[in-house]
Amino acid sequence: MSQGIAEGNSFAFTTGAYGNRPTFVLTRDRVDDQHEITLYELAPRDIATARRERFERAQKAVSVSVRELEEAITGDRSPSELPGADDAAYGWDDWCAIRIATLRGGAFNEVSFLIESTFRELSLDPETVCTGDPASVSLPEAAGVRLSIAFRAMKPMRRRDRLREVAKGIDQMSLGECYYWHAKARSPSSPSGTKALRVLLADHI
Amino acid sequence: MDFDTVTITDYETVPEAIQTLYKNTASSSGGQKTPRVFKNNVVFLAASANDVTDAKRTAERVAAIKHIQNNLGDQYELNTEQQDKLGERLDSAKGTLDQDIKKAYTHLYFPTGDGLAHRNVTTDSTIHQSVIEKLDEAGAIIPEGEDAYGVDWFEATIWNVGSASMTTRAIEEQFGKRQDAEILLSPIPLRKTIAQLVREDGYAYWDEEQKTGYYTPETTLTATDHELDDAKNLHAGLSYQDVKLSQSHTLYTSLDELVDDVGSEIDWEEPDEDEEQEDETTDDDDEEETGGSSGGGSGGDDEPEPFSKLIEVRTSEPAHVSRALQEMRADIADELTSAREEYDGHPDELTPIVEGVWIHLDGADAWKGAWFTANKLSNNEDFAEDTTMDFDYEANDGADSKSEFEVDFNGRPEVFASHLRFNMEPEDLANPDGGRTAEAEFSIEFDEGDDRLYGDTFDLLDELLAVDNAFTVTMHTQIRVIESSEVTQV
Repeated sequence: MSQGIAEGNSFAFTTGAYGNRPTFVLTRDRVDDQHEITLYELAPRDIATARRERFERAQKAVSVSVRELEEAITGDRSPSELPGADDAAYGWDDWCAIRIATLRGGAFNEVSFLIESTFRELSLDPETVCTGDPASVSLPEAAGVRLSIAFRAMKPMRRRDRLREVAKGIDQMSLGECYYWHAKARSPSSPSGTKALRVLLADHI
Repeated sequence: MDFDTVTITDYETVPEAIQTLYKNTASSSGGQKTPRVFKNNVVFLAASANDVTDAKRTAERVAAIKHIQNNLGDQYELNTEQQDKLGERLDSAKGTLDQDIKKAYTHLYFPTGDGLAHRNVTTDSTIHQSVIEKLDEAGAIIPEGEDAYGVDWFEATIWNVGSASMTTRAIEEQFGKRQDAEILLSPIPLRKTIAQLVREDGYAYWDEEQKTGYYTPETTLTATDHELDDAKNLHAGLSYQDVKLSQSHTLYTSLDELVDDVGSEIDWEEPDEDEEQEDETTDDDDEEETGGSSGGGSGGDDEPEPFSKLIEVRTSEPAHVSRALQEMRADIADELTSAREEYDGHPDELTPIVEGVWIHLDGADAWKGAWFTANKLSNNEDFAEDTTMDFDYEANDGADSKSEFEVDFNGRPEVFASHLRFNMEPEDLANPDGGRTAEAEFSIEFDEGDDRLYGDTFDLLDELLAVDNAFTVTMHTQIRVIESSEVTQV
């Protein structure tokens, strides 16, 4: 993982479509005395709507759930005001949050390991979202892409050993591999992407 | 290796560019070549010609998608669904490019006793990791966690045959020079090896800074009339934390060789004193020895002196400011590690502070570089007060009548920057037949009681001076490592 930063500087991974703006938000919440952690991808509203329509048209069991930013973020703050955001001021009007997945219980515990190592690379304190009061953190694209394939893959799993295998496997992936699986996992045209990843990392069928 | 410079079609023929780089070194492209001394410190990774084509194609796809994304609405009309799909395509292309690059960079050349050897690298983690693994597999490196190596290996591979002694720095450099040696990735295995040689194999070690020697237990001394037990600054055994790789630490093949060489530095206890007094001295000495054996070395005072160590490093050749700072930082990091090991307390209690930085510019075009540096330093409140400069300039027209122009400036950089503008140099005077030389020396020396933290100060200098500038400098710095409680900041 220590190579991640250097890797991130290579041509392939520099600035996405939205510059260096954070494009993911991770929020920890407490519902009925149970802790849960949710990963959101941030996108302009029209793009988010377009994605939802693509999935609806493909008539998959998966549906895209779009939230307002204030619903996704704890406290009355914009993504630029959260820990993990850089100093640049970005406008957030007409942006919204696409919910990737919410993890609870065993899955939350096992994903903490991956959150910790991802945060360490960004010099962010993992405690912010792993313990204590509800809180939100902004993440850059590369970190968000790594976590989003983990959240998607771990969502339906129950067995702790397999959950752990998945988190460990994704931690060891290069950034390139993460992008590859992210492209497979988020597209309605490759419906079995996440399943394939689970099979690969944990023999989970 | 850049794939525009070298690609491999037949790996058995080592490309000329790699051979040249292996044999020679130069500070810049087209610069003067000198034979490479430390041949064993380089490995080359080159791309295979066929696979580069794939990687280039994928790179073009990534670039094309980014171009479209950046010019949406301007040149390209895409609806939002198409835009969302484009994002997906980009993610996938990024993943493929990463794989393609790893697939292309498979040819590893590394030094062995018979020149460059070749291995194929296949990557399933990062390229860096795979190269290290492959070199390890080929037995070509000494990895970081390795333990001490044996005396036979040491004598066959590293020791200069026939020498009675070598400084530890020279021993370290052997790894860079000897192509049949392993590449040393970390100094620790070497330090462990040296300590073991002294503990078990009859070698002896002299620390010139502390004036302390170490030898193998149960050695007998034949070269002098003294009894070995009478030597106050010779100790049996050596732990690797006490081994330093430097010019002033020397390994001897035996204790006799050590005594022969540094005999006058050895502090023999005089046996012909008054008996009563002698006993007392011995007791005192024993106490001192156990009390402050590896610490300061300045016995006598009741209060122990706070730890303090001066680190001095300089750049080896002219380089751009950012490179020069980088080179010094690397050397300082090594010195800091050894300072922390010398210190008795917890390493985190030490803080490095900057005593001074000296920047030297030299050459026909140094006027502009000097003006730039003076201007930057004088406009920065952290450095303006503590900087002075010397500047000498000479230009002549080369004609028979010989007209000469000279500047000799001595003083504060803000005066230089405001009164000698950077375009005031009479460059044309030297054309076409004359010549010009310029030399500038900036001294940044901080007052006592105004301690500047090393990390912060170097970051500031880097930020201030290391812009995209066209001149080269040599640099030199003095860093003092002190206990954090002693730091005073204004």
